Amino acid sequence: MKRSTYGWLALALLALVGPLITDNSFIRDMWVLVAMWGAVATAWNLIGGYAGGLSLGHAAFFGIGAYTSSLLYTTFHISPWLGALAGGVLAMLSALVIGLITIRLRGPFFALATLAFAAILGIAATNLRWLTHGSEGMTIPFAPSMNNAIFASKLDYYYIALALLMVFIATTWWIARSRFGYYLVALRENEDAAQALGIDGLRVKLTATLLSAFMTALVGSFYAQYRLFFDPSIFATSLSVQIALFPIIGGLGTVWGPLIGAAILVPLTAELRSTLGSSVAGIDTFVYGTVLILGILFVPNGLVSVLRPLFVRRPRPADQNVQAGT
Amino acid sequence: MTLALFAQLLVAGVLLGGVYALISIGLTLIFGVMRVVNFAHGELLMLGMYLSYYLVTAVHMNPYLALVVVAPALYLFGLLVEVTIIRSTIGRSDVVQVFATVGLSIVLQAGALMAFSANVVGINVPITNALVQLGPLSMGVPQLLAFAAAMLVASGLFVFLRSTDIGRAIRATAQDRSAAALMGINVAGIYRLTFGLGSAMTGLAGALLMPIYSVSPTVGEQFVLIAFVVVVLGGLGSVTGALVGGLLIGIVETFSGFVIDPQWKQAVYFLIFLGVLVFRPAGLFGARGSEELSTS
Amino acid sequence: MMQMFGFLRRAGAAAAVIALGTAPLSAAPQTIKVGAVFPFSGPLALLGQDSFDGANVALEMINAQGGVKGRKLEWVKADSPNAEAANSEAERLISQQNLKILLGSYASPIAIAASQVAERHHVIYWEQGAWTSALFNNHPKYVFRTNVYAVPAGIAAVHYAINVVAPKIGKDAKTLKVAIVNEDGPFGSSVANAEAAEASKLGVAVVSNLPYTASTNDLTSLVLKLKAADPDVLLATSYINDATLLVKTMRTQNFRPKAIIGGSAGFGLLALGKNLGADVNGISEADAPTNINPKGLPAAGQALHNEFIAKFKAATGREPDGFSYMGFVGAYSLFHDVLPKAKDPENADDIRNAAMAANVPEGTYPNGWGLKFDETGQNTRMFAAMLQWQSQAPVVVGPSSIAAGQPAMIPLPHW
Repeated sequence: MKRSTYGWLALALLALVGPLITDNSFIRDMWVLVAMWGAVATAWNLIGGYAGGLSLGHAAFFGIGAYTSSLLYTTFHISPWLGALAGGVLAMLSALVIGLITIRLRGPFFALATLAFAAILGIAATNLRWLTHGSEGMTIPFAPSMNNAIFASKLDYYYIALALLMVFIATTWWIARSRFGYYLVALRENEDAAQALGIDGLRVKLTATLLSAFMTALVGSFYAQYRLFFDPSIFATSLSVQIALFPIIGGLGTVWGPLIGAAILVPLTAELRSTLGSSVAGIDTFVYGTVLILGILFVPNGLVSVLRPLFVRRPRPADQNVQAGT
Repeated sequence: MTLALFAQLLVAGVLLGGVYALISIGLTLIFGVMRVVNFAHGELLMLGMYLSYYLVTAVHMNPYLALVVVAPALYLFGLLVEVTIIRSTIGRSDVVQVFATVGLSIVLQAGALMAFSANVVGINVPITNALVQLGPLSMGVPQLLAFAAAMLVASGLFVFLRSTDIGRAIRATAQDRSAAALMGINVAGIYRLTFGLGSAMTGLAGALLMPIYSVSPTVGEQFVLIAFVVVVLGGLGSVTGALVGGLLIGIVETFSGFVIDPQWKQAVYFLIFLGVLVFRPAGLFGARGSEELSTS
Repeated sequence: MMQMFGFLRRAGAAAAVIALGTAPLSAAPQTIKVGAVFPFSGPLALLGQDSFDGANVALEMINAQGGVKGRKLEWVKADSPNAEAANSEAERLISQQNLKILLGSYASPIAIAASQVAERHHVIYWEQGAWTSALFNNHPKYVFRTNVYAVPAGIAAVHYAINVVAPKIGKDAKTLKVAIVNEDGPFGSSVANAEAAEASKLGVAVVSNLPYTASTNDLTSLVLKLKAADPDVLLATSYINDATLLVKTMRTQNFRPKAIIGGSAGFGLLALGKNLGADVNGISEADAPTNINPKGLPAAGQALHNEFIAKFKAATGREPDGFSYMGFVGAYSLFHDVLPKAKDPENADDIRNAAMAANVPEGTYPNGWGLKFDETGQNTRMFAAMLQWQSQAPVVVGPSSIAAGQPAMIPLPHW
């Protein structure tokens, strides 16, 4: 077998049995969080990495997913499995509206517009108390059952998150190799040239945005069912930034970068907080921010550029990241 | 709504707008010249506020005299940031620029927490409570001074960019970096100067806010989004735009808070922000594609 | 394959230890470790630290007395700036550090998140300062709260308006007009809801009810709306920044109701006096008791009161405020009156039994509280005190047993 095949086998095995190694609940929580944030990051990467739209508003879709499934469940006892789909559809509708407005904006303008969109939703979630319980937040009663999508064991959550993650990664992998993916990358690298070649930029980018919003909302519903409590801070800018950071650190516009980013940053954050945060308040975020700056400046292609040789010999054209083309 | 009430709201909105203009000028200058959207802008403001706070409380300096220390100090700090971080992001992708400054904002906030603790502190000297009464209208003296400072800083910057050699070099660099370099302008030097100037103005703004607001490590978050709204509304890179945009947002905030509801007023200006991006992405005073630094 | 699996297991465990740190290899049986889940960083850090500093005085005091059943107590601090961090920190404390007791947190979302994790692991979660009404929504078994919360505080504020303010301005419950403003976070909303409910129950007219965002830069429009509504009494629940801004703006706009009654946090902090100077005088607030008249306490309570204040000042160099008192009372009641009575002080069910059996009369703790839990886990021997800023210091003006002064400046003089 080729070297890369062993690599993939080891990875698959790790993903499947990794959380079984220990029943330590904190470590299992880490596994769930890595899979979950990896999935959101993969969804963000479709618009942020492949289409080149630096969204700082993905918390909006995440929050829409969480609120929709939770409200349907707590108010009408609709199973969160269905509620998650409803949240995904609602997120797509909102992405359609906001996408039509913002998609032609470039760079920082797009970032700021998406940021404003999430901020508006956050204000709405705080103020529409009759609907959302306002800042008191949504509490979902702990009633484990398959229909309620609430489980006593973290393993159940892990395998659901893993399934989402795998589907998202497979989708990305497929898109990266499809005509659609080439269109996206072409638009990202040179929008005018791509349009001149007859690519319908608006439609292609909008499709990616809708898909990304749908996927993000599904994970938002998952998050609500996992934590069973959230409040309007789910729309916070800091969450949007966090979502974008995983692919950026891992490798923008690559299939595996977002997951790699999550697999590094999630445990790193927790570790910094627990080892440093208890000594001097703030030192953990200080170190985190410093690592972030250094990473952005010195490993701009993401960690995937360091790890890639282990798995793939030659990068494929659609799989290159932004910096390679600019 | 009575005329007196309308006038009072308008005055309050204009004064608040002065504060917003003041905190936005540095941001728009830096973007106009360097194309850097500085997400750590709020933290520069926070540093200016803390420095002013310590000068007032520890050295018993007059808060308005503290300006002459705060502005140069932030200028030097801006140089340091430019040399260590910003310089390496010039000409690179949006991602690098945005997230290097996001990282900087995280670092500065955490650093402030370690250095100053989470305490919310303010200054209380006679002038912070002084009022001016004009018929039925009342205005806080610190607000009036902040407004005056916004006008002075904007017009000073305007004149500086128009009529000095360095100012012209800055504008030339803003318009076309490579052409400017060909004309013998030291582009790297101009960038350093611009970031320093932008930081100094932001520090100045921080010092002028200190008699009005309290400071804590996270105070920047309270202002940074508004500064973005203001500069996009005015046109990123336009000094006049920052002034007009600040005033408009201040007036809109005050009136929407009264007419609609105080808790929705932030949503109102975010909606305006989105509206501007849809209908006039270059902003009110921004040149084509907001690519130009303009003194129009 | 089995060998490979064994290798994986070892490698995984080793990696876990390396990556995630401190798995307790030899848990020292001598100390009882208690998780301290507080926001030590982020926007909530000010009062998080304040609360913990109070709790820490209790821990050191008990240790100096020989600990619990001869075992020393030790904090495991967990910085939890928000609910998500609180989730993962609670998981870490419970499963990595093997703790059986978490104490927190002052902030409502953090309390809810951490208490849910603790409940699911059958670990005690001991809340000493959060005001949310939602803490017991899911009927937890291992969650206890020692402090006063939004509902009693909101009720106390309304009763003060009716019983103390109204007679002095020639009004009664039927003719009194109040306005309610609050920061729209969980803290301000739950106090404001309690105030609105009590006012409507007692037939007091609420002429204006205005939530706002605590991070606002300007409250002129809100103050002008209030001025137009012309209330007799303003009930305001704010954090420190916005409380300062609110009063300053009221002064600028010459809006002076006959009384201002704040709800804890911003209106109780000593920083408010520093920020506002003499303008702070006359403002009342419903809060956790602080600066009470120790003569209202029995001798033992007085001694504890004086000891707490002396030790707090020595440790931090500042005066304790309401949150430091709550932190102390929360920790002290647990370490002094519950853990020593538990058969095994590291067994959640034993601790729960000891807590439910606790029967400590009011006046025992430095702020006048005692300890007796109702079936939900809420301490019933707590109460909100009414304080009033007089000569730029908060003075307890009610309840009368612990009052250090009389309500004054009603109606408030003009600016």
